[in-house]
Amino acid sequence: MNSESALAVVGVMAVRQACPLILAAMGGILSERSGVVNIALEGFMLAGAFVGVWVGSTAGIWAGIVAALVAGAALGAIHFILTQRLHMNQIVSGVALNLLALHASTFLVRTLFHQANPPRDAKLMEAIPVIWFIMAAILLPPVLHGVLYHTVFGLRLRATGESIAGTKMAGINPLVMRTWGVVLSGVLAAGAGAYLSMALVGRFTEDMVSGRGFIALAAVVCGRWTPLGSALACVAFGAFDALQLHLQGTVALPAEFLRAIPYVLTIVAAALFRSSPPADLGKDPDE
Amino acid sequence: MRATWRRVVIVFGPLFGALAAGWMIIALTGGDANGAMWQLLVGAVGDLPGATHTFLETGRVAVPNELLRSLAKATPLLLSGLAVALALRGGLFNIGAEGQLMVGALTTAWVGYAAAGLPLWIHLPLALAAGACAGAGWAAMAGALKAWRGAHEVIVTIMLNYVAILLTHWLVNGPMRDSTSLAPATPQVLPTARLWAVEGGANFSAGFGIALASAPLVAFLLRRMALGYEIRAVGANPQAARAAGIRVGWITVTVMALSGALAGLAGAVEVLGVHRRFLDAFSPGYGFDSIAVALLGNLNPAGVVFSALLFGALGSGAVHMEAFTGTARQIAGIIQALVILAVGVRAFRIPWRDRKP
Repeated sequence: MNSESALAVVGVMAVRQACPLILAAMGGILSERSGVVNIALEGFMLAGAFVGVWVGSTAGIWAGIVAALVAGAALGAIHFILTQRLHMNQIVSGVALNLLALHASTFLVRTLFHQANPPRDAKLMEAIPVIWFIMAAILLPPVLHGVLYHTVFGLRLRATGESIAGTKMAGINPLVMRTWGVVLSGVLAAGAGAYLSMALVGRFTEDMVSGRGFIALAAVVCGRWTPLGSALACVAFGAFDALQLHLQGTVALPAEFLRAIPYVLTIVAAALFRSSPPADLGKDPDE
Repeated sequence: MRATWRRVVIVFGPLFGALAAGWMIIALTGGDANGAMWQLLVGAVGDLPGATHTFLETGRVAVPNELLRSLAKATPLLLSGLAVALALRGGLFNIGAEGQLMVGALTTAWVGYAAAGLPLWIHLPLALAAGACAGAGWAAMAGALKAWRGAHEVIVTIMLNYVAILLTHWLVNGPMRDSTSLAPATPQVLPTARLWAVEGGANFSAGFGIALASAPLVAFLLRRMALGYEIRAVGANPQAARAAGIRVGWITVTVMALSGALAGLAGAVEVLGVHRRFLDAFSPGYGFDSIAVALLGNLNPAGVVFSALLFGALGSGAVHMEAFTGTARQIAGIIQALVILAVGVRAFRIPWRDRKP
């Protein structure tokens, strides 16, 4: 293979890998900018991936996509109610929702489809065009940037994350803003999951998100909670991933080192940008 | 008396609620819920009434294999549950027990097979200590970044989990791989570094004793030692602790290191007691389940012992249930997640929530 076509292959792979990361990361930004820690992106993605295939294989592709997004919204709403109305710790809720999504999707795929790991060629449904999701991933970061920094809604959402007391004093209900942030994060992350299962492979396998939700979270941290910065981080992480897949076994550098880059970069970013997170991130509304 | 009843309700309410939900999920998906739950119980404790009867009649102790398997499964959960609970008492969320466990396990395996010619009374403690130290070092990184750079420990420990999994995956597939083994694994640890274990594949080893002994040690640290007092003070209110002259940064690093040491020890006893080598990706998520163990145990060492035994029984019972009824064993994971959710929303205030950011 000549170097030009190799570059094209890696480039296409990078876009395919970055797309779900961007969708989920934009969800993460919406939730965290409203002040709610969301480490459940992984679980939301997995739920979207499973529900999309489950409904899509019986009721059609469109129903599958809608069902996946609704499932994401429902999980987001659960995270909101648990943390904001019942005052559960936001990290505990995230951990539990991740566990629930992982075990419930595995249990259901085994029980409903009667197979632990569907064989590679056993597609449960026709795959939908990847290009729709890619268009969404390209358009979403600038749109979200516009919404966050140039609309009243965006200003209020950011204000809720920075100072709950301040927003209350300004006559804005922080719970309304947080509802939007968390529910939309569920919708976007579930959309990312639906892309993985419905557009890329056309089937659901156990734990198929395999850490992408946490990479999206990493991109949020590396992009300092901004849509454009995080999207850039997603593209970079997607490129590392594509490069790692492409180079596997061909160079002396172990693939694990390339795969570890996003995580190591995130630790460095978390240590360097200490003033980046929203000031009231994780704060209980009634405290 | 009322307080005791309250405690019983607080612990058993979420548990029975989650079990009932599990029963309903099996029934709704077309399974035999009663049969599955019965096999779950049988798989967890085995023929306990029969064994008790034998003991009373003849005085012969015969612990059912199923019960041993449950205790074996509880061993890593107990140690890593203590790890998560200890860190939370210091106000730190250690999501990284899984990574610390993996790093500890690999280091122990390395000392176990590479350090030849040592007598058992040196080699075995050395291998255990190596695992604990590796886990401690891995976790202390997160503590240090939190203390001096303000990096959130949740983000750092999540990322360190993946780094640990990739690092051990690389080492066990490359430099440290035993070329005679089919699966990616290190060479077997030498007999001088092995923990005593029962014959017959129940995986029950002396590691259970180590785990059980760690609980009172953690309780002693928290209740009776000055360091434990400082840890609790920082966990309750870091500003007040600083005003009282406690060095909050050092306590943060220390509590993370101690927490990581317990998680590393969990990996060490799995290697020395069960697998006798480091197998790639051997942990089915003990480090993540330990968060559920710590929360159900109310962050209290005695409570953690109870909840680790419970989740150990649930996990091993589920394997038995799957084999006998065909109900997928992930139902145990669903029940665990529901327990966390139910415990998390319970009515009374939990210590780490009182802490201002």
